[in-house]
This record gives sequence, structure tokens and C-alpha cells, in this order.
Amino acid sequence: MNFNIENKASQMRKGTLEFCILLSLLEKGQMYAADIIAQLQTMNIEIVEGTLYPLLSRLKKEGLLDYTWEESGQGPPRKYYHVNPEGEGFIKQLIKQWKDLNQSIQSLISNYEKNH
Amino acid sequence: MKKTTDARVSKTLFTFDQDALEHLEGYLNSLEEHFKGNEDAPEILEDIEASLAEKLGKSKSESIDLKIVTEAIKKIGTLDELASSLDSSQTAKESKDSEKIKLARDPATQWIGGVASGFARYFDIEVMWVRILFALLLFFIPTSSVVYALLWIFMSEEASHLNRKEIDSLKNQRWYLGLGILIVLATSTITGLIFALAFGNMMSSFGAIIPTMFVTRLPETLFLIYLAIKLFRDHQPSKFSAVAYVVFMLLTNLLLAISLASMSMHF
Repeated sequence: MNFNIENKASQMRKGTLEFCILLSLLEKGQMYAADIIAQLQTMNIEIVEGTLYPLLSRLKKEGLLDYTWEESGQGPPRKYYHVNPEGEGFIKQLIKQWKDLNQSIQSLISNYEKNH
Repeated sequence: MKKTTDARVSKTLFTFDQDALEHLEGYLNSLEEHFKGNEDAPEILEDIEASLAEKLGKSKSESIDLKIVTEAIKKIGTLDELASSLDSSQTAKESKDSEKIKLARDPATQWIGGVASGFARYFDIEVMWVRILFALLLFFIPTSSVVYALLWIFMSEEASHLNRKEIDSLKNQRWYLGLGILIVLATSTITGLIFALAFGNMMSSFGAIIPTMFVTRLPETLFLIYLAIKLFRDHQPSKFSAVAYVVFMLLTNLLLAISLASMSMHF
């Protein structure tokens, strides 16, 4: 039973993964892969770099993200990702969608809790 | 002291312990396989290599050992983790679909070179039927082994659903089994034919194969199998083994031809 809950919860988190990445990028301005992973960890989303890179390159290809090369002081230069203006517009629409969805779910939950 | 090798990871030069470098290379190869079919693969792999280089660069020790590599790989994610993640499930499905129509050797279920496994996957039938067909062909027409060898050389190899490490472990187990069967078949066919000829029964020689093998040539066959196992344990199964196999079969067939000739001259 516990296993099922964990499974469903992780599916929910995975479903919102892209949204979370875009939001944190928007908030922080720019981040590189390890920053993003650390940020997601604080939201209880466990993700490895091997999963993140394909996602980032896809978002970049969809025209939502851009990156710049920054020297890291040690090791090779890093790709710092940021949301571009089109991406920002896209995220604003997503935020609206999310709020609507959240409202529907909230009302379902409060209806249930009122009757029990 | 451990043997070390210098190698570049994303333009940075590192000194690796031999086993650490092999592990890293194996991992990168399996990633390449994993991202096959994803059009961003070159960029993704570049990103991963750069990230690995950064992680390895943090190590203070003289050479990169297996532990450091394993730690770095853990951060990128093992193949299992990547395979179970949401984003890659899509690409994995796509590459599986394209595999279905491709005729390629399948190392995941191979015994010898994976040719039979490849055909079985291509036609979607049990691999055992293909093996039986091959064995029958080889048993009755010894030279058909050359056809197998040519298929082995010219069909490309393709891993199906398993990662590199799993395939290698399968290979190492089944390889000897297949080779043993081969050698038993080859020697029994040759000795059977020679003995049948010696008794002057040229046309119906096959009846004599099994008894003569067990009675007269069993120690020799066992010794040959032992030698073959030793040979292929020293050399990792590769293209080399395919070539060695061709040479072996050609030699035995040559031997067969020579003995046929000398026998018929004798009579």
C-alpha cells in the first residue's frame, strides 16, 4: 500500500518536472545543471543529471530556454540556462493553467473533507 | 602499483587506473546506446561528459580510481535510473520499434556470434528453432559453417534491451557453450567422415558419426574444447574470435578435403 502511494506521488512530481524546472529558472535568473538538481531536491524531486540534460536540450529546442557558457574556475566551462522572452510568456500561460487546475482540485478536496 | 592510462574526458586530460577507465568507457558506450534515436544525442552526451570531467576534476588524488568514477556516474545516473525516467521512456520505445525491422546480431541471447538470435528476433520466432536449423545444416553440410561465419562478420551487432554490462556477462557464459557445440560438431563430422571412408562406406557416412566420435575421438574432442575455452578466455570475445572461427572452420574443411583425397587415392 505504501509503495503505491509513493509511486503515484512520484508520478505526480514527474508530471510537473518541466514546470518546476522552468519556474526555478525563472526565479533564479540562470542556473547550471547541478544548481537545478539541488533546487529540485529542496522540492523533494529526485532527478539525476542524465535525465536532466535531455530535458534541457529539448526545452532549448522548443525555444523556451537559451544558455550561455560561463567559466567555472575549476574544470570545463558550464552551460548556464535561462528562460528567454518566449519561454517567459509560455510559463505565464502554464501558471494560469496550473492555478485553474489547482482550484478545481482544491474544491474537490474541500467538498470531500466537508462531508467526512 | 596499478597500471594507469591518460585519457581525455571532454578536452580535459586525466590519469586513470585501468579498471576505472574501462568502467567509464563502458558507461559512456551504454549511454550512447541509450540515447540512440534521440536527435539531441550528441549534445546530451557532450553535456554529460563535461559534467563528468568537472566531477573528476575535483578529485585530489594522483590518478582517478574506480571509486571516483563510480561516484561521478552515480550523480549522472545509472542506466537503470535513466531507463525508468519519464523523459527517456519515449525514446526507448522508439528505438525498440526500429530494432524490430532491423536484421542484426543480438548479443543479449547469443551462444556463438548472435546470428541465430538476430534471425529469431527479426522473424519473431523462438531462437531455439533457428539454432536447431543451423545445427542440422552444419551437421549435414559442414561447409555451411562458412555461411554462418560470413553472416557473423557482416551482420552488425545490436544490443536489444540490456545494457552493455549485462550483455557482456551473458556473452561470457554462453560463448563457451556455443563454441563447445561447434567443436564437437566439427570434429565429429570430420572423424565420422574419415572413419566411414576408411570402411569404404562413402555415400552413407553419416551413420558412423556419433559412434566413432564417442569411441575413438572423445579424448581428442575434449582436449580441443579445453583449448578453445582457454583461448577465448584469454581473448575477450570480439571480431578476433570471429576471424579465429573462420580460420578454424576453413582449416578443418581443408583437412577434410585432404583426407578425402588421400583416402580415395588409397582405395
